[in-house]
Amino acid sequence: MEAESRPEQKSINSLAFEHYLRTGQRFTAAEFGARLEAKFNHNHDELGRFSSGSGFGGGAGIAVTTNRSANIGQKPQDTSNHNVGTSRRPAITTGTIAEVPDYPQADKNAWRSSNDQAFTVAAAFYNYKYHLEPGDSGYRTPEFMKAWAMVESGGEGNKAAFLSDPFQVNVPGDYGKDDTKFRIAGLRKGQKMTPGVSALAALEWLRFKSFIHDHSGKIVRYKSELVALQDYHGRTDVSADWGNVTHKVWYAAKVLRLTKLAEQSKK
Amino acid sequence: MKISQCFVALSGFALPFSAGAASYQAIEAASLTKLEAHAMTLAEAKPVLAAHDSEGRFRYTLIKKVGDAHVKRRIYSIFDLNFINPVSQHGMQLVAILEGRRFLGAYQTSGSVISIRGSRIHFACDRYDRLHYYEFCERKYFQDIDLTKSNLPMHRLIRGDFVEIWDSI
Repeated sequence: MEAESRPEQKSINSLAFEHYLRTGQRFTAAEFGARLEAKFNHNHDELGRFSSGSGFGGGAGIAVTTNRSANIGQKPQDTSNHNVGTSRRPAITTGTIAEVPDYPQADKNAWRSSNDQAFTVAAAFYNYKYHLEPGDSGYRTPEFMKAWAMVESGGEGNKAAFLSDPFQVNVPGDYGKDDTKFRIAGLRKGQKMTPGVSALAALEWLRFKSFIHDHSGKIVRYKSELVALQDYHGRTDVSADWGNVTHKVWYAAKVLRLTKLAEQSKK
Repeated sequence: MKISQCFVALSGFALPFSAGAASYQAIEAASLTKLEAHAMTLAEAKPVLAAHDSEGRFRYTLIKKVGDAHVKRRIYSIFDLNFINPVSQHGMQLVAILEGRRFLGAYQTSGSVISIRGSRIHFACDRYDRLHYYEFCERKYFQDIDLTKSNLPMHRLIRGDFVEIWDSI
């Protein structure tokens, strides 16, 4: 086991050293590994093999099945190895997600259901990556993803945004001067976005927004789901249209309300 | 007009141009101090901030002056910037620090209330956050910016977010 893991470790170490020689920034292998850009290709499995012939397939360690009886976010049978992409893959359904209230998806609005599979896979991958079970804080359901995307870009006239970056996670102007978005969500400024990349990056960015740090930058606590969503949005102007609260407060409350309604309609 | 002539005009001295180099250096130093020790109004600050707008945010940013911090002979002008992205509708708040016409840096403030307390820039939760007793409103999750130090700090803890100094808005 030790011998098997050594070549990969050595490779990361040498990459980190090369980076040090080029830039003068010294990272441990783990830190350097965390800085690598996360690429999402739904047609490849965790070993980079082509896993599905057409359409939306499984993303990095997620096996996609059309069996509707399979549980979403189901954990693998063998739980001895929790490393992402190395243990057995969870099976997830690829059916459509329930319609979000106020956002009809019939006829000319059918585009609102076109990202359902991307949302389902992203939620399952995220839950699997962070070992989240239904009922855990931070557990993501496909309904949450869809409701969130609707509030972000599901309005009339936002079709183009919804079909490229439904969570508006990599819009020019929102990208900071530091490399935080790259470190956390693996996004580069101006990167071409797809719904799958947007969903995974948005989940990581939302998770980052829930951290409370101390003076040394260490994570010491977590904010609530509501506040994390508020900070994801970040807009602080007030309007009577939103009930005389800041836009971010209105936004977060709306996402959670629509999620609840969508989950109820699913049952 | 030569730079030395500008400084002569600004400083109000009427020394003949035959004066020695040492005299001019003294005048230049005095003039520079005079330029730096200048509280910037909002109108004066806008071109400076626009010149440090690398991301195209300036046009969509509401700028308010927080105030001036007087530290010995220096005057720092502090501005609260509230950017709304016209595409994503997301928001971003920054505090920008100017010393005269010199842009010193900016930090993300996550909607915190900014005030000046002596030679420090002070941050606190807004009314909504305080009303809800959010844990990150505790004082230990905020760090002031001390303007008596020679340089602005690389990192600050503001509302529980560990933010980095930016060289533009």
